[in-house]
Amino acid sequence: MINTFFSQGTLNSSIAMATAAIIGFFFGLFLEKAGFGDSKRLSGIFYFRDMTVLKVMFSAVITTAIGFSLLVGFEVIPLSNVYIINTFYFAQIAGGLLLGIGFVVGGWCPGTAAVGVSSGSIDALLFLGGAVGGSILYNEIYPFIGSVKEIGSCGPRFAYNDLGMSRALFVNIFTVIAVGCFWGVEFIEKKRFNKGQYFNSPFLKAYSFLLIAGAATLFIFDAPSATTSSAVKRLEQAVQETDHIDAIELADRLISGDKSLLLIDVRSAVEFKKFHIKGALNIPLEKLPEAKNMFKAYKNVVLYSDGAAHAVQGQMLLEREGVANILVLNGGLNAFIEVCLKPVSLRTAPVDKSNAEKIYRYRSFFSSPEN
Amino acid sequence: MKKPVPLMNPYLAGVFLGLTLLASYLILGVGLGASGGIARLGAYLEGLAANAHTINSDYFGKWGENPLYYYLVFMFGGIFIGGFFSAVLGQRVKVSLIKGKSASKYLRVILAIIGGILSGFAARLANGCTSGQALSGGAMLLSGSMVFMLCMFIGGYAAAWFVRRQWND
Repeated sequence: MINTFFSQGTLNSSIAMATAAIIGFFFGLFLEKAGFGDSKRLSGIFYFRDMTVLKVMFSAVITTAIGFSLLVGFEVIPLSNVYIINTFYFAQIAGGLLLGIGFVVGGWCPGTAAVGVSSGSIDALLFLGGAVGGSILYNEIYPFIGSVKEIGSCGPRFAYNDLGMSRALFVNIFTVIAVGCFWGVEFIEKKRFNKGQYFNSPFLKAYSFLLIAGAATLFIFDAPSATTSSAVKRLEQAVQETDHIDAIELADRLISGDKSLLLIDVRSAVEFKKFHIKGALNIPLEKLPEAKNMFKAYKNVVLYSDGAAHAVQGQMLLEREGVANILVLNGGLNAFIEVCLKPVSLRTAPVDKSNAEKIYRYRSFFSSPEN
Repeated sequence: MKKPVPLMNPYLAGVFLGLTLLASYLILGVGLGASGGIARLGAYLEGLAANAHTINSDYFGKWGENPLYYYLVFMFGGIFIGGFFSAVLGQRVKVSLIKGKSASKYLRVILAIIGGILSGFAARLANGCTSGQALSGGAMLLSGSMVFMLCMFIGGYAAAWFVRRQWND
């Protein structure tokens, strides 16, 4: 299992900064190699003059989508170890439209403009200057418009869940559409401009085959017998479903001595012994159904594991047994540590005074010995 | 001047970009981003000009006294260096204002600046640009990022006709 800087809460360490710079280096390198140091080529997509942007962007998105889905499916990396951007439709729609307009007007987007400057483009430098100004402008009028981010805001959402299909099916449909686009634009470039070199080429055939075959592999996780797929799905559902409790709410209720709440650590006894949230009881996943009668005496029973996957499994297990008052700790123990217990000094974002006091209170409560 | 080296096959360049993005998710745990670095540069510059005002502002203020100490700023720096490295190797470094041959220089300058302002603003509104939202969020198959990507193309195609003259040959 891979731990990321994000999941370890060390994204603000100097080694993370150096790593980000190296990743940025390769990002810039391949953008430049794709020809994105040229605003005329970039804007070509909007005039059907040069479709490089479509070919590069779709290839990159599909490559990552297939690769990442495979790694999640094989449990090399849990979804909870990466930062999943929230969905907030209104600002994303408005921002997307504006960014598209800015792209065709200016001939660049932020990342490619950096590569443009590296290639000596004066218009890229002007564009970047404008973008710095646009950011400052946003900061200045933020008090008036910042709340638009709340319109249509619905947390992390996956498109395939919203469309009611499996991750594998969605990636496959996406891949087929992308490959179709590749053949379409190559056909147009060849027929209309007589310059495309890839239409019907052995390369495009082999490439299309590899992408489709790669995406098709994902269907193994859809098979009912595959245990990994169910874990992945539950984790994804856990992210979206409403029957969970936030780390802050849990911490506040525990500190206030709320007797209507029972906290259960579903990890193994060994892990429990190493570290657990103060006040939690250890009942490993497989023993949960045996304890169901005890749960009925409480208003809420909160389950947690390291991430969310096992706790959600426990929740489903108990639901089948007719126990309905189960909540899952959002993001699991990892999130609880990140949100409530991580020292202020290690946090990426600055913490204001009242929150710093709150965190201090959490830390002193949860790290004091149990009586 | 020597002739530029041919560009990489765009599909392969895309695959390599995808692998870079995948590496970013696996190592850093976050996707790629460019506009975040630009915005933090904006916060830094505004802080130089009006420190108290910036620190007390609702948006930039959250980034603290040193907005430049952030992974996206370092990533943005990396993009410059990687781009320059590749452009030098490919003999594609050329100081010029890129525009259509018969297009007006002033038109191109003004549009580049306006486009920049729009993009910088839009990227803050949407918490990301082509890299952070369309590419990184799209590859994670996120609903909002997919919608963002679609809107980006709609916006671009809708406005294309009005600014076509900057590319006139």
